[in-house]
Amino acid sequence: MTDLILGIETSCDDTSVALVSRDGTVLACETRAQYSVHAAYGGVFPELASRAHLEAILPVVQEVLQRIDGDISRICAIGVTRGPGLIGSLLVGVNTAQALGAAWGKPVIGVNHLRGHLRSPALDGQSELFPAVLLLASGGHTLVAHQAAPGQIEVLGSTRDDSIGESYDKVARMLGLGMPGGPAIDALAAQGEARYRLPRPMKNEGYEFSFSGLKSSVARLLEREPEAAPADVAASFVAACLDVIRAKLDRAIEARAPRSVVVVGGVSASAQLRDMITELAAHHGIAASLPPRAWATDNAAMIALAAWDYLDQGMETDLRARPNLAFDAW
Amino acid sequence: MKLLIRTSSGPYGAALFEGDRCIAQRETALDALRSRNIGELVAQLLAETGTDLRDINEIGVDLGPGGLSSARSGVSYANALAFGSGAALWGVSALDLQRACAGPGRVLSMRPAAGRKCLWALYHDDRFITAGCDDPTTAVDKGAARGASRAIGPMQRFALPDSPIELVDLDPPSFDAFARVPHRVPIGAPPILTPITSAEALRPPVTPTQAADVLRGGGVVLLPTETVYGLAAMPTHPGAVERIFALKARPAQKALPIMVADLDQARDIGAQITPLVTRLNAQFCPGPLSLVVGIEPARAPWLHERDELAFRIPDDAFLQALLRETGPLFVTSANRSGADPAPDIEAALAQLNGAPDLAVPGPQRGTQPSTLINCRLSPPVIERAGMIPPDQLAEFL
Repeated sequence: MTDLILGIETSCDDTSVALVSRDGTVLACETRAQYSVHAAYGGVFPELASRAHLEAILPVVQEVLQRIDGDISRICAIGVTRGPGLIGSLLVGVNTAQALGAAWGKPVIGVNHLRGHLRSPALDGQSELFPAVLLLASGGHTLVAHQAAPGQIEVLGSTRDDSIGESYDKVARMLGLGMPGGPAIDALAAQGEARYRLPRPMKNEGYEFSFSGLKSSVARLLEREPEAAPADVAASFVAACLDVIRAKLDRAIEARAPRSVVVVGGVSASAQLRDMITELAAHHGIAASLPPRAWATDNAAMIALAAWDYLDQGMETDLRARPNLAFDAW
Repeated sequence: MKLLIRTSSGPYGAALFEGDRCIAQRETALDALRSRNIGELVAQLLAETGTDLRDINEIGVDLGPGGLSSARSGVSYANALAFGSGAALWGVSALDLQRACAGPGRVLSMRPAAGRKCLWALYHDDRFITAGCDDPTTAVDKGAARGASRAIGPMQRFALPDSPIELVDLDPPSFDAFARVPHRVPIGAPPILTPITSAEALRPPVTPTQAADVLRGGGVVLLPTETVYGLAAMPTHPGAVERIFALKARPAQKALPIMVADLDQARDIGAQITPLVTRLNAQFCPGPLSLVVGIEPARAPWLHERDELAFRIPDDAFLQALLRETGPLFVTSANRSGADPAPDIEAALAQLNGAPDLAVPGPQRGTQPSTLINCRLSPPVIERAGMIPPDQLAEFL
């Protein structure tokens, strides 16, 4: 039986390999996080990232193959992230996939990482309702889009500067929290009170975001009030982020009247964001679709599932690694 | 058949070899540099020669240093191709490849590195001596000071206005050199190779047997001891002993200190093992203690005309293994006459007059020598203070 795609994801700081069937069933997904490699730098350090990918990728492939007893005849194709991401990291994934494809005689499909995120709500038997308004919130991207049907994406607006994930990481560093910043901020915010007034950048205009000013306001707040309780600062920061996101989604839902609101990307693992989205969907009387937490952050299962779309549509494969691959590119 | 992959310099290249015979080789066109793809190139090579991947039983890959993304692409591809196909996999540095194009003699091989620097390695014939990372002018000066007659690499990229040694422009190295460059093919599951990006990664680990071979061939070896870095030579090779003095820029004299693996090796060459020596040995050896003893009778021809010798039993696993292979060695501190002892290879090479035939990489050492006790005098005298404090010695003297 040839029923699986092997997915490979190395666009940023996680080395991930998965086996996924056409209906989104995840047979295996193994991910090596590099937090310890980058902790000393307070961010992802590109050279170290690609070296860590190079050392981890084949052992992770090996682990995943053990789940099918090394029976590579079950694999019909290999799907690999070709962008967007860090070039050195993308090259490790793409070249590994090409060589495995050559050695095993399997086609190799270059996949847009962002299309992977888009497909993540369908992993493990979830279903989606279209048309949908979609929020992608991750370390590399923050954008709102309209999706008429699977694959038909219209970007409404994205961030002008930092992504929301980056601002979480930067604020986490200001508060002396470890990497990754998102879960640390969320956990701290849950114990605090949003007592500080922080700006809501661009809340009242269009669909674009700007998080750089908000981050600077937190820095100034900490300078002005060094005694401020970190939990209260974190809570105030999260409240400001969610307030802006909610305003954009309200606007998009009112303009497009979708059947569901979909949230993808690493930040969708945030409990506070998930609560806000659930409440927002109820308010508008539409469905909320959130990928299972396991599939919210970068992973190869979503890449493998997206690769099925490429295969089913008979797309000509493009294996050129592209750090700035556009959201709506294939 | 053997597949060779080269990506760290110039156009990407791949070649097929049957033994030492090149069957076919392909390079990416220079105008296609931006869309280089080693996978496509290998696929073309196999298709055009009608070769099945299953016929490839060995894959060799260039590990750089060079273009970082390029080297990473080639190495990732080679790792996974070996993983997927079961072929044996080995890697060599681009500096070794350039050296193999340079012919015999003492050669400096240079590759561009980050920050307008270059990673360089110095070779004698095909033997690696040492490596470093410097601006190109400094690298050439260091090579010249260590006896290199020429430097090889992509010289146009270094823009050296003039040079004390001949500059040989080469980019990229040829596949013929690649096929014959010395390498070891690991046995068992293919290794996971990583690109070379530092001078440390260039220094191959040296085994005691390799060092012993160089010494038996009449060479001089720079190596770490548990005190300072030392220069070693076989006492049976007068030429090598003379070279030690030349390297140290010191007038030749016979009384070089001797290292032995144990007391038996010292006894075997005629060292007088008195009760005092036995006592000190039991307490401090192996360790940083040198003992001056009489010779009665000399059992080695190279000790004739001497009535005393200084010996030491080093507390170092590498030296112990080496001494068991070679027998007693002359080992003296690796510094220029009158200068401070060297704590590492670079410090030693910087001050020596020329370069040894092999440098054994090791950890940073101090600058304090071994303690030297003259056991021929009564009472014995500490003639040189060293790593063992005098108060620890007092009760045994």
